[in-house]
Amino acid sequence: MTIEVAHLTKIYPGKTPVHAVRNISFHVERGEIFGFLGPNGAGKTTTIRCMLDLIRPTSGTIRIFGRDARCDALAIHQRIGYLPGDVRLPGDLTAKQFLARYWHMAGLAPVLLPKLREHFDIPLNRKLKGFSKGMRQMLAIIQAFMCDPELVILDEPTSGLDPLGQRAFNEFLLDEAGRGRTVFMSSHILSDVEKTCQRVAVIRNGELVTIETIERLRERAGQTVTIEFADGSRPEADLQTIASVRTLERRQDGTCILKIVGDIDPLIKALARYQVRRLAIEEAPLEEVLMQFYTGDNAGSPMTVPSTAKESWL
Amino acid sequence: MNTQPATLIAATPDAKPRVCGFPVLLATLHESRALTGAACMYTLIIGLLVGLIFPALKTLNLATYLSNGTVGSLLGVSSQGHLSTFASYLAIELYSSFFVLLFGGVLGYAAGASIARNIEDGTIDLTLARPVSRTRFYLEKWGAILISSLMIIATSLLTGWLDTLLFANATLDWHWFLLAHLDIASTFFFIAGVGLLVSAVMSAGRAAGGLVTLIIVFGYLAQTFGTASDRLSLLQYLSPYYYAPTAQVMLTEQFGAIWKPLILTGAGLIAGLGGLWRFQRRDITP
Repeated sequence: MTIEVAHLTKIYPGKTPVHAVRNISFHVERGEIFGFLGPNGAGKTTTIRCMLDLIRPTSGTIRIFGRDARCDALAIHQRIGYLPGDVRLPGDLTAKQFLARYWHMAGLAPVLLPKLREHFDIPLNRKLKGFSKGMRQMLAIIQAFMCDPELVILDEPTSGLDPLGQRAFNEFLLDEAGRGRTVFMSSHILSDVEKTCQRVAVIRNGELVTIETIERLRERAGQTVTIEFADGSRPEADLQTIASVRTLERRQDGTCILKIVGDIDPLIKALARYQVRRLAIEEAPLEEVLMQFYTGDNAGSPMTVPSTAKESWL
Repeated sequence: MNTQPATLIAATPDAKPRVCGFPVLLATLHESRALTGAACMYTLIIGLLVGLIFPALKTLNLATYLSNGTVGSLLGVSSQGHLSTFASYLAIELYSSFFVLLFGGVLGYAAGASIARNIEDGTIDLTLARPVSRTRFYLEKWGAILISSLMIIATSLLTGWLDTLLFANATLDWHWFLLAHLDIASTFFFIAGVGLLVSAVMSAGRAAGGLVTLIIVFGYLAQTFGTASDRLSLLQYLSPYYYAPTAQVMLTEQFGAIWKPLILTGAGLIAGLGGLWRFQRRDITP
């Protein structure tokens, strides 16, 4: 296990104390790409900063590579790469000088630099003040991976990247995971993590809402079925009795649109009794599920149970 | 997804963290190079200018100039001493209160901003996510500010030496000149310590640098009012100038009590260590 977070709570003291993170627990396996999703201000960055010992938790423990994130911080930091969420780079340095500064701090050779440059084409000899937002982000990604760390912690990694940059990043990430590297990435955009992550945790208002595999999330999202009946029949009452039908809408042109979550077979069998002119089945966008978690409309309440219990539920 | 580890792994699980050289110190010197460079340049220019116009300055009656208590208070010197030598003119023009006010202010700003600026712009995250401890980070920052101080002091000594080399009758008694710089060194050490303390507590670079500069200005005002008025004499004990009267050493050729600069050094050390203690415990949040 690469990361183990247990009952992490962080309260920022003040006149009105802010509960940034409340009793969250999860773990990340070695070689896994783990997504940490949540809206802005949900507590993603606070959790990451606690993992890096930049912020001290109010309670709870964090273990990385089996070591305590605070007591053994140096030994852990030797083996990790980090991409901060808000990258502000010193403009008077060239990209090469910037990278050299941080590989010297790591005390390690930038063994992955040539490979990274194949994916992210940036001018190494140009001053950083001339870099666009996307170029700065690519440089920060290179900085995080260049010393070939075993674990990379990424805070909103695709922020500012154009579609080409995002694709290059996704390809590189999958390649690294294939080499046994572990990646923990936060985002508030599901499409970012959908293509790369095996599991995602969703955090809202500092509380962990769920931990799901991407496949499970897809199942939750369900399917959208569009049916056009040939004989103008109105089978709504019949279809609504099917357990997996969540919503049913009939348009003015007679087309029925159903949202299915779960087994689609009863619907197919029910439709066999009617004359169907057209049938289209589409995967529902995952954003809908995520939006339910974000807005708190999901049936499940925030999870405060220990990670072991929670993940066995999955 | 979980596959064999890569054959080329730079960091092994039990490898001892080993950072090459002093990257934080070098980065800090790089960040503060404009301020330090300006302080050195102005020291050189003012010092050489005094040497250049020394023949003309000699016609000035410094005793009359300083017999006015207010002027003496503003400059941080008294009318006693050898007032017709090159050293005395250099002391008045360069090493009076304004030296600490200007160059100490520059140094204080650099010290105050040193950590707080990195917190504000987030670059400290990149550094502390590497195998760089907070203690090491802080001590390298402190070291960088002390090196900047030494660069200003070295420039000042170089300026004095160049004066004696370039200009006729510009002679210096190196014994008192060096002792005056010992006073400057203790003052700068104090400023560096206070600056690091403020920087370790705050998270905004300009505000932290500005606050340290304000503390130095307060020290100057405390000295000015403390020496100008008997009723406010207690104020001068709050001023670093009381403990390290640089110009006075060159004017009177007397060092006074050794404990005075030691108090300043001790206060700087306590402030600096207090900053380290606080920095190790704080949350790093912009």
